[in-house]
Amino acid sequence: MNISFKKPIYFLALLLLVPKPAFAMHIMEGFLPAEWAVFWWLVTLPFLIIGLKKISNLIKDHSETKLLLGLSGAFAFVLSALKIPSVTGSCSHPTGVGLGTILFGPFVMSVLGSIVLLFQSLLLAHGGLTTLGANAFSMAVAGPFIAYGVFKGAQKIGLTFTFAVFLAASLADLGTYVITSIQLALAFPSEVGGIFASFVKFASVFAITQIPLAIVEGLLSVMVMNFLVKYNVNELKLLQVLNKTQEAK
Amino acid sequence: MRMLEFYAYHSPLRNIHPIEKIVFALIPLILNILFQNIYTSLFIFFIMVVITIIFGKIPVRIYWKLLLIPVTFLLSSILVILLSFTESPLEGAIFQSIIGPVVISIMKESIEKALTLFSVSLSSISCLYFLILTTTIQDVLFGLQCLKVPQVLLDLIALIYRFIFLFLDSSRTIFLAQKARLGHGSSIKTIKSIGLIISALFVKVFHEMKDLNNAVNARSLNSYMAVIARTIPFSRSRWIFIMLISILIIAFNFTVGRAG
Repeated sequence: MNISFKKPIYFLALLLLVPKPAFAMHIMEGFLPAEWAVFWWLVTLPFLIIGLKKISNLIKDHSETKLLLGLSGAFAFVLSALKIPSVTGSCSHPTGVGLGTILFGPFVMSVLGSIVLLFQSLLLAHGGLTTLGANAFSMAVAGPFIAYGVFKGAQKIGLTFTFAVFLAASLADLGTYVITSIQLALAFPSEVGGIFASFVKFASVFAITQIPLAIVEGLLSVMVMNFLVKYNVNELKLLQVLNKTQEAK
Repeated sequence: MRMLEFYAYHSPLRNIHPIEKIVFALIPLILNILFQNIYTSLFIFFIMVVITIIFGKIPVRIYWKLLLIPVTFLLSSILVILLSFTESPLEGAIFQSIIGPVVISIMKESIEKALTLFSVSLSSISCLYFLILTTTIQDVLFGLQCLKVPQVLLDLIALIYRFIFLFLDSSRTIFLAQKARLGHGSSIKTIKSIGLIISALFVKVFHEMKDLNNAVNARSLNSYMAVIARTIPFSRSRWIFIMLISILIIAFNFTVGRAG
């Protein structure tokens, strides 16, 4: 075994020994230094502004879409509130952005995802207001865009719909955590080894729960999509109409 | 979640203008993150906890319990910053342990960093708790409306909030029904059961939308405005209080905080 692989594995083993390795999936309030908190807010804002513009254009034409979007946001929140059994028993939960992106598109999902994060900090004290920019970037911007790219790409190379959904959902979930690890590593480079060593440490912690969870989320999204295709063709058609008008804008 | 809501709705500070409360929570929060000083953070933590418990009338036991949730998260993330993993022993390490080919060490700088981070995070959480234990979401939205946040965003937030509880209740009902019929038995079954819950909720989303749309159309409204404006007066004495506390924190930081 290569020595560079041993470090994360030992670290993993150590963390498994620590009772209740409950790692918050979002960066908590006050955890980021001021400059990084501001930086991630600035990076996220343009996506939110574009998303909001798209949404208001959409609402102008079809006023009922506002209701649909509101309901979809609540749907996304509940998705992220459903706990899935994971290996370590920590409170990891699916991000739900993969499924949301396939249904509603990446820009709309950016806005909805950010609102969900706002509620997670205001209703569950999970995450924070100053770190909302960073959390929104990883979960509501990077996640949906990864999902969208993967989904379209997978369909283009001729993978089946099911497999495309699986890949999109699980890679979006995994991508969210990789980005979170990068954000934490950038803010807290390790005393020894700098940013990369720190990234390995943070990513190893996430890996315990997140790799199985990403697979589970992928399977779950496939299952939901299959149910929807089977029983709710009309609703999906309505969404497709929405997507077309969105793209036309 | 319901507990936080319960205290927000029953708070004696409920009828204070939300902007005052938002500012009172945000100024210490921002100062806290800017200063990154252990003593200042502990000072802010003390102020926020005392004010939340005494003026907000939150039972100490409940506040303690609420505080324990983030603390467990915080400890595990701080462990990551505290420990260094290398192949050879480090100079100047306070603690070192060799497990196989890996040396786990704790550096003096990491301890300082971890302690600062712990206190800053904890006191930031106390600022956030002040806001969410005394202010309802409706009031936060009203405050944001006063701050000229786009109406579309506010309406979306309000709608989402309104429906979260509906969906949580439905998902809980379906979950119980599934359990009664031997769903959620094994991991695979759990995934299948959760898949069924999500797709059932999705259908509910559309039914709710149709009903709501009919309701809105029946009242011949053009759009659905979800945020309700309230008339709450500002109070000069409270603004002075907020200013005094902020000055106190800044003064503390540059005297006791720096000296410590």
